[in-house]
Amino acid sequence: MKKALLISLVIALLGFSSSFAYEDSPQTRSMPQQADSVTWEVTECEEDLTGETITFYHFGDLSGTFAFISQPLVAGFTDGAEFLNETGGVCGATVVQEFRDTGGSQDQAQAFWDELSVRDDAYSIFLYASADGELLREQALEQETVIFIAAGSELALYGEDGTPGNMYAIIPLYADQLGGFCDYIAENWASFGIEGDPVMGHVSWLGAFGQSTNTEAARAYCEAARVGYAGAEYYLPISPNVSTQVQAVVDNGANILFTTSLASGPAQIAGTVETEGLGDEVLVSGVNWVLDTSVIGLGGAATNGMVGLLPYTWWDEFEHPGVQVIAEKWRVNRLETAATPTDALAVRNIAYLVSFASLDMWREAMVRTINAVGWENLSGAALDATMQEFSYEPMGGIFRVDYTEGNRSVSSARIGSIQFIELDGNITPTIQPLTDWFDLPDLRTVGGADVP
Amino acid sequence: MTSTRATILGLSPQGLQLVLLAIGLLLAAGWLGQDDCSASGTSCFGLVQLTLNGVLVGGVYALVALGIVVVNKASGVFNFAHGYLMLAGALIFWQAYSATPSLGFAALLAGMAGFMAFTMLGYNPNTEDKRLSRLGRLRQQATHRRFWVGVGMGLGVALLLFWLLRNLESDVQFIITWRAGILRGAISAVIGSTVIGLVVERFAIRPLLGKPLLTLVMMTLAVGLLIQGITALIWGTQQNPLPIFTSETMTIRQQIAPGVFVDNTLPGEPLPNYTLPTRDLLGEDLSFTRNLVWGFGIALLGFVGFVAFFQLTPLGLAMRAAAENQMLAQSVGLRVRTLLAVAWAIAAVMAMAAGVIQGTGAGVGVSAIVIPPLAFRAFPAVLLGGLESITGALVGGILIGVVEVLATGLIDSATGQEFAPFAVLMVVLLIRPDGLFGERRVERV
Amino acid sequence: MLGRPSGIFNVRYEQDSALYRTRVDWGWGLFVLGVLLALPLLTRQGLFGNDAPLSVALIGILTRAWITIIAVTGLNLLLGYTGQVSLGHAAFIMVGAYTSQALVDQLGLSFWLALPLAALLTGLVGVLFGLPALRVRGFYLAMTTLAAQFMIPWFITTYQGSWFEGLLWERAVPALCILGGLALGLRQATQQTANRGTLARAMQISLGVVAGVLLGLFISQLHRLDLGGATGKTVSPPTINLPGLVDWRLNTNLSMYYVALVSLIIMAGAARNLVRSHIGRALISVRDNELAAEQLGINVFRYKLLAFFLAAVYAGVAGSLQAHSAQSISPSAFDLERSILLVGMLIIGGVGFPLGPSFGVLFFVSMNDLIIPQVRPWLRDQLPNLVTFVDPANLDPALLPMLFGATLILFLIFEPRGLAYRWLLLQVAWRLRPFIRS
Repeated sequence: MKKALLISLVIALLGFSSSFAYEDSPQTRSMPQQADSVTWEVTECEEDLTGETITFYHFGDLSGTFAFISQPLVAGFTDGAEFLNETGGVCGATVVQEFRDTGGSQDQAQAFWDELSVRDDAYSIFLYASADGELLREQALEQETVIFIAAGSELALYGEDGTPGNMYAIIPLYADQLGGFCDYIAENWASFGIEGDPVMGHVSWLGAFGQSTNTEAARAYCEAARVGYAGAEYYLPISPNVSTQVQAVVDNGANILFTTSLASGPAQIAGTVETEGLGDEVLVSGVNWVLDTSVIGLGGAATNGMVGLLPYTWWDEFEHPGVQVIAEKWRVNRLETAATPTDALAVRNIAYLVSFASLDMWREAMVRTINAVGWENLSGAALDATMQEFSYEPMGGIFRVDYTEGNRSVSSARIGSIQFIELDGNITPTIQPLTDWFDLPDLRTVGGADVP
Repeated sequence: MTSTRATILGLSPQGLQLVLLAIGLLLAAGWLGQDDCSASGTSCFGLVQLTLNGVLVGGVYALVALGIVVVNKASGVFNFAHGYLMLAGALIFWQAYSATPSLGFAALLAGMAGFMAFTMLGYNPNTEDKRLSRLGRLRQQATHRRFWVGVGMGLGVALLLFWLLRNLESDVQFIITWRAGILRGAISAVIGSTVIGLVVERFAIRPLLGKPLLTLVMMTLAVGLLIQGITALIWGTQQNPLPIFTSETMTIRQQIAPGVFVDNTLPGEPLPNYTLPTRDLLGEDLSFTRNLVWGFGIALLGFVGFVAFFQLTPLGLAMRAAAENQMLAQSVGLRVRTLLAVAWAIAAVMAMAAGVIQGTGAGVGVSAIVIPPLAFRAFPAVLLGGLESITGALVGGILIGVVEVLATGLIDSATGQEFAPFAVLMVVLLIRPDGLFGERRVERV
Repeated sequence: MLGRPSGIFNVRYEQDSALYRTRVDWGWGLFVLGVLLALPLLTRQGLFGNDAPLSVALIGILTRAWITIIAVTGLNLLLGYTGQVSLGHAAFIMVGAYTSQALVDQLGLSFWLALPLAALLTGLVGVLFGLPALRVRGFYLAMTTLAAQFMIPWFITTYQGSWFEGLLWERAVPALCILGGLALGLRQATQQTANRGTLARAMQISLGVVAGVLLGLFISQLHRLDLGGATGKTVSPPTINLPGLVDWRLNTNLSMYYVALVSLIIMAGAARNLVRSHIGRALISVRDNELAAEQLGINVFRYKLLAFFLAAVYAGVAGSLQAHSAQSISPSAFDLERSILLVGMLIIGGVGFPLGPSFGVLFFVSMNDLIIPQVRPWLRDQLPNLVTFVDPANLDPALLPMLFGATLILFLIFEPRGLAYRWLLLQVAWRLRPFIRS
């Protein structure tokens, strides 16, 4: 009897508490009204497809290793599709999206490919991870389905023999990024006020992603740009401590640490550099994923001053029309519905920005294809024909793509830096561009034009 | 059938020899060949620093290993769910650490703690026996009184905790200022982990008592999967910072539009390493990452506590007896179920400690990506030391840590992190199949 | 047997041990086979054109399911019949996949030759990691397979051809392999006291030599291989090329379906026959009581090694099939999680039952590919009403581990013998009707 009473008491308590779990209600904040329409240059439609529906297919790893990137990616696609529909869809046709979670499993990726790619309206599919891209490269060629991919590897984009496929990446290849960074360092090394000639050491995640930057071609290119090489060390995302790796390259003479990792990866490097007291002696840098709010959120003050590739226009460039649209959507759909501002700020990152803008890129590609062949004759092959001559700045330049001349990844970027600045008496973390847009070298292992 | 030999603090004489040998080797590597250090490609200082880093990293492995060994010692089950117990505990810690718990969360935790205090002090299941002797009835009345004492204590504990969790920040500032979060996190995580451990034991392990060992091991795998799913459902997959070893948590105002700010909290500047003034001896000061030093300290504390617990306290002895032979233990009146529950609760709390230590690393944070796989990497440590040995867990953890870091520093990263620990494990298993300190099983027909 | 149809009596031992004892059994077997063979014809790429009742995606899912069943069958031989846990099965699949890729795409062999060779090589790797069985037992032995799960991917991702350059690897070791094969064959042929003819002995010797030569040749070519490091490699699909007659590239879901199905039937049939032979009985005796098995004159160590070999061979076949049907391999597909899932599938299906792997894999596949996609949208809508503090976006990462974990727990508590056992009970109940009460 007592036991039953007690158990029911506990259950009641549980129920009571779960209803109270988050009592803080989201706050609505006033914000200047901003642009919510297309103010950048887009191709006009020659057909009116009002009443039709076009599906935007995407699938990827929402629950595996890179889940913390993928969730904002989906949020960005959702809000981006909403924006597209508010501004007329694709030639008036309503955009709906359909996506799947592979959980990092290749079997699942294959299953979703089988399921989605045979649909009559699957002209293109958006993928997230390079491993999926490698898996589906040949099949996409065979089925003439265009693949857009968030982060494509050289193997996925160009295969083993260097032939461009029909897969289009929206960020630069990591080796190209390294080359561009070396160019920048060669010219601007003095501005960092670090003693000695620039010598770079790599400290990256162990695995395909982390090891894809430090190719022989990229190394040779950096040597040619007079950036020394102090070896490469790798660590697992679960390593309790990376001071061994950091010390190893620093002992080899490195005064630049370049990391190919994301979220906790760069944060861990930055934090270790601080705790080891190396803050004034080395520059922490890395690929585009380094300049992200997820890194700032984990590393905090230690990330101040990190330098990396910025192949897109960042959230902090408030005057940019594309950024204004994205920021407004984020505010309405994310900030005002989130339990805490921190939750919403976690979404305000690369993935949201890029996925939002790539929807605009997809719309542009579709419109051009429809103009070229007509709605009735729309096919994956026709879309691919458009893509091969495709050059565009989504949302007025959130990023810049140019897939002509067999190019399959983005080759235009800037160098940026994380900076904590004081504004109106508040300290706020920002990501500031340090350079103007410039062309990254082409450092593909097979057939790279700029390989020394 | 087991024969245990004479032990010194849980060490068999052979084990002792091996420890001494290992320590000797380390010393030899570090100090004996002052001139030869350069042959290894790094300075003497570098070598010593590497070795000590390894010891500290090994402390984390040891912390994980200790939790696994406790369950093994009490029930003979190898706990594959340990990694996810680490994650769940660390997430609860983070939740309470990062903000004052909401009314519901605080009430839930306080209620759980109160209930546990009540069961420990006042609840006696024997009172439900209807057929009691006169003596029994007298005892029942006694426990009846105990029941109300228990209710009082439980309520007291619950109220106290509730007040603490809700008001630590504002009212107790004269004791601790911005470190309030740690205390809050620790209280919540200890309660939460204990409850998780008890729940796992009650609903997953207890129904399988007496079943083949393999089934139990598989059950821990299944429990791991379930906890993985539940934590993902509640906390999602984002990485949550746990900036305990930073100068201060910064409250910053993120600018989201020109002149529009929202509040955000970011980790502050990480605190510099602890240093040891060895400039005269080695040329440079040795430095140690803070969270690892603390992890090592907790591991040592856990080690001493467990050795004392299993060697000296009746409960610990009973646990060992229960692991040895459940039937026999039951027949001499030991409550095997209770013992198991206690062991799982202890293991869950140890797991939580390991998870929190891992999460406090500079820039690491608490997430499913950085915590659970650590348990798999600690398995070699457990086996190296021996499945039932507390000492083994500590020594095994440290050895694996040293091997890993030395191989990383002297050979290369992939070898150090993916090959060396397991190669050492294979070699040790071939030479000493029961691990360095494991109880050697003698089969008798 | 638990029960048999009334009126049918076994009068000979062969009848008792036969797989299909009655014509009805045969009929059912053929019927199931026929349905499985016909499935791809019901898709768009089959006979029906655009209004086909089945989607091509389903055929792909089933193809991968057959491949997984082959892998789990190997695990069943090890775990179910010999009682040794393996937490490194995915790593052995990886060996099969990479070996097959190397043999076909880099050394120019035909897929049909590479498949058995890759399986054999994987078997040898399995033996390597089974060797500690000599001294280690029980859970410590399971841990050596965990070591395999980490060491094999390490080896493959850091592999460099230059390790195997030089006379040692290109000449000496291959020669040793051939000599070793010869010695092994001779030993087998001369040591066994059983009644064997000269032909059988000669075959044993030549088998040893052939195995040695193949291994030697492979090792001598190791320096030429490139395993793609951490990135992975592309794999060519199998081809059937009879000069003048056919030249097929089996690169569609449909063709790989048949390759996988035929492989499955062969491998599952082999496993089933194996466990009812003296070898199977020896394995089971090792599982049930090692000491007793030893007393019966069974060389426990040798049979454990055999079990590791067999399990790895099955993993190798699965790996090779997987590589060539996906046409791409990458190290990330063979992680510890997969090993654990494989064990979980076997438990749900039924450890130590011939049908266990099939039931377990099909259960997992139907949960992952059919049930979860159905449940997810509904939960996404309903969850915010049920539990206020959970973000519905979290369902994606949470559903599979939660459901699979919970199912596994329920099975372990309530039906540790798995679905296959339930199926057996159901069959018996059907046969004994109407004399049975549920």
